[in-house]
Amino acid sequence: MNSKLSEESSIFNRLLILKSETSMEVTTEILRLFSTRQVEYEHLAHNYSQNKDLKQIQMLAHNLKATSANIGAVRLPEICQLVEDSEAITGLVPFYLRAIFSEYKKINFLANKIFDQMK
Amino acid sequence: MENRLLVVEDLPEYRSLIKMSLGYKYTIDFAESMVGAREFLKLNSYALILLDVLLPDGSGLDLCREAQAEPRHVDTPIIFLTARNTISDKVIGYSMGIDDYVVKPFDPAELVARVDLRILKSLKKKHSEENFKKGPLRFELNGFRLFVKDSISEKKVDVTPLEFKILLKLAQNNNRIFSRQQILDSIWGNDIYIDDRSIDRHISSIRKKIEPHQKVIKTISGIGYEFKVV
Repeated sequence: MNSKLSEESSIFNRLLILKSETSMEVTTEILRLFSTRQVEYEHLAHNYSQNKDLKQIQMLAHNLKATSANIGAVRLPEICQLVEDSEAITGLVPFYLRAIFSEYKKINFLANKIFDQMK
Repeated sequence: MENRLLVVEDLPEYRSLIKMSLGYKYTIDFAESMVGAREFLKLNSYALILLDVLLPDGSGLDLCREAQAEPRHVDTPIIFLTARNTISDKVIGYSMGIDDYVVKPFDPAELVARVDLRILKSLKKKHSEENFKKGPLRFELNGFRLFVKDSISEKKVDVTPLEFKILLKLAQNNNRIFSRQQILDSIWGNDIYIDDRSIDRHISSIRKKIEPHQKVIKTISGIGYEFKVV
């Protein structure tokens, strides 16, 4: 419960900063980009996993770490970091990737819900 | 050039954020890759480069090295913009001579402050390299122009290139006494014979031109001259 609250408050605070220091339009655009890329990223991660291309998977995780942190996510960047730190594609990477996309969906929903309430 | 930035960033979210944060005061060229950035670097000079470290076609570290090797960009401040925030990442960046390191996600206002500060420092450095100040005098080194401070402002004084060189030589060596021969040798060179009393005529002319500060050049009887300001 506490961790959910902290995730929520982190997203709320970040969106508030983005909205106040840039504009409503830019914040909307940032959220839209984050949301629409979910399917593409999942597809790419699947392909890279099949090709055992750890470098590309890590690049994807790196980008997702940056974009999710940009909307205030806490757990997703942490899991992405685990992938970035992995030394081989075997072992925990497939597990991390499943966790990443499960978390991605949650964050996507949560961030849009919070932002709708801020409007 | 003072208002032009190159931003190398592959993530559209961050490009939007940067455009919104800095676009109102700077002209920004956006590159999404190393290839795009190289094209811009060939064409333009920049007040500052904001560089993502991990790019789809290579490392920002390599691009940083390439930019620093170009005379046109050698003095351009570079700020790394990255989601890699370990100490070793930062140490690598700083050891390459980058000027600052901004970790994603960043606060837009903080980014603006950092960019402004780096540009300001760079302009000050450039100004100090192009100007030499001593006491009431300012020498504009590129154009042989001399400025003398009065009580309120600064006025340009017309001096000949020789007078400029003599005065600069003395001013750059505050409190050091130069013989007439030393001044002749350093300005005209050793191989040219000129009556050392011609220095006196130049000094006399300089003194008139920098009034009321003529006393900064002291005559040292039997030896030569000394520039002296506290």
